[in-house]
Amino acid sequence: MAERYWRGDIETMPREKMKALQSERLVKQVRHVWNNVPYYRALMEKKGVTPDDIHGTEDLHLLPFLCKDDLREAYPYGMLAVPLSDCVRIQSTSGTTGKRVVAFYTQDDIDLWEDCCARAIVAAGGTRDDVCQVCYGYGLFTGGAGLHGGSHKVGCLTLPMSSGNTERQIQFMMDLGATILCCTPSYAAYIGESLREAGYRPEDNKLKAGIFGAEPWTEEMRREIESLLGIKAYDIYGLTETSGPGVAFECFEQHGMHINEDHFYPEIIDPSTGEVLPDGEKGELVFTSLTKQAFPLLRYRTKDICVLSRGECSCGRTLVKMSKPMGRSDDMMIIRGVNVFPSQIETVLLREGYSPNYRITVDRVNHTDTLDIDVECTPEQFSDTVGDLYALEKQLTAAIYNMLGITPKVHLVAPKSITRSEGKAVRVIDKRKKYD
Amino acid sequence: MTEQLSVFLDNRPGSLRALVATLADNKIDMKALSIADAADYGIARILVRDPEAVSKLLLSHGYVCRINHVLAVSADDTPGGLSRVVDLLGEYNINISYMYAFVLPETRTACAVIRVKDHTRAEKLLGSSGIRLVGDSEIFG
Repeated sequence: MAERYWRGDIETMPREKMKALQSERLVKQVRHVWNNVPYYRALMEKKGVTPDDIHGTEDLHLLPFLCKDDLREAYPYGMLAVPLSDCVRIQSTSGTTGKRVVAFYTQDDIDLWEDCCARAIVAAGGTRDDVCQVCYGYGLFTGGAGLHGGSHKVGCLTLPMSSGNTERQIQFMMDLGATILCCTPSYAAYIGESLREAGYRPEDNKLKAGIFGAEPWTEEMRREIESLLGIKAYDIYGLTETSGPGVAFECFEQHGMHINEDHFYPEIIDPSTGEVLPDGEKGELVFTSLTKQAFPLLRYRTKDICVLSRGECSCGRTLVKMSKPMGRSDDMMIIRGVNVFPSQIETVLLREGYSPNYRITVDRVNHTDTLDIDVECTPEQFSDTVGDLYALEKQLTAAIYNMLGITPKVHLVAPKSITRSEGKAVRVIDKRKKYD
Repeated sequence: MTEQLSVFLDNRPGSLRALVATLADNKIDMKALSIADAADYGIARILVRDPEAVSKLLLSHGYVCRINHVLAVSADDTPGGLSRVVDLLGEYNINISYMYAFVLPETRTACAVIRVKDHTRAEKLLGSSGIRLVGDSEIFG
């Protein structure tokens, strides 16, 4: 079967043509921001740049960066580039990392965002015959609204479940024959576990694909979810600051996410110097919104660490690909002087056969950092002798040491004793913050 | 050959209570119970009439549990009653992982529950030395 696209003209556009389209849009967008966002205009003036200096994407590096602190400073209306009467919606960040950020949308902004989500759903095999269960949170969070709108565009029968009430999720999933599931990966794993406990086998549900995002997850977690639910699991990426989910999405290759670069122009920079890095190098992802009208961010630093690649994809899309973020520059913990990303620990846990439910606690005792990891004991690993369980903890401790270079304290806990998340999972508790 | 059911418990107030309540609610009678404590967790080991069914019940309640074979040995309820058994196991270099004891309901005699790695070998050895293994009918009546 030939690969299907939502916007074939864009998704398979020759590179040269794409570059021309991006440049044309960028020139217009910079002028729009200069004229309407005094906050950013001041940043440009400080750097001595005017819209006349920007002739195409090759000049993008001249523009100043924006970061989350700018958005907090400009809260609530400082980044708004159109009259409030032209706006039809706000969405807001989840506030996981501090004060919320509020983003504004015109109807055109909503349309382009939903169009991006539709591309993701079609790339996951979605058609108008599908039943799409959206259990991202609805409301201020962009997850529910984005996939909901995309699902409508594609013409799927949309189940606007929002998050939570897992029993009801399962009932609707089974009774209405949901074929596509959209939620956070941790909630997908939880739904999968709950289905198994209710006595369903993976082949009992009608699901064929899942579109999971809004939090970091590993390849190991993907395989776990795929086998629990009997589906193919697709990653989706986005952030409220640029629009929401759908900034980038996976195709059947499951090897990197295609960026909807006709709307969101990506760069990779060295996070310490701000210097633009060539394709293939690891660095911080920066987005420039080429088309959004109400909340057009130029060179917004996402803090996500990843790699861009422009090779040919077997799906036929020419859109540049970004790797799964390897962590956020603000997710990173420095423990005993070592850089640690929670995703590294998750990788080891799943490889060693543990469940994706875990809790990392970092603390400081007698001026030394401590790393404690609670993991749930699975029926397969359980033994009636204390010696065997000690050996299990020792083996996991060694595996984590091999990955991180520091020795954690591993604790086996009973199943279900780690709170399940229905939205974004909180897996790291850093108690050291109280001392800073 | 006796089957024992082991259950993983968090080491915190209330976790044994929840297990015992689940068993009581389902009218399950424990003939023997022993708890091993490690730093973060405990292992409850119990003898019940139908361990397969109880295991299923506990799994459905979210417990992690496992069935394994143990030796149930009748020992004279007199000083030195147990020593013949452990002497024999020691002689043949069979390590005891853990053990516990309870009183058989009918005969009021002592029963030692012994966990070894190679229970088939241990069972043969004890049998050929004239030590009687206790059957399910004696334990559960």
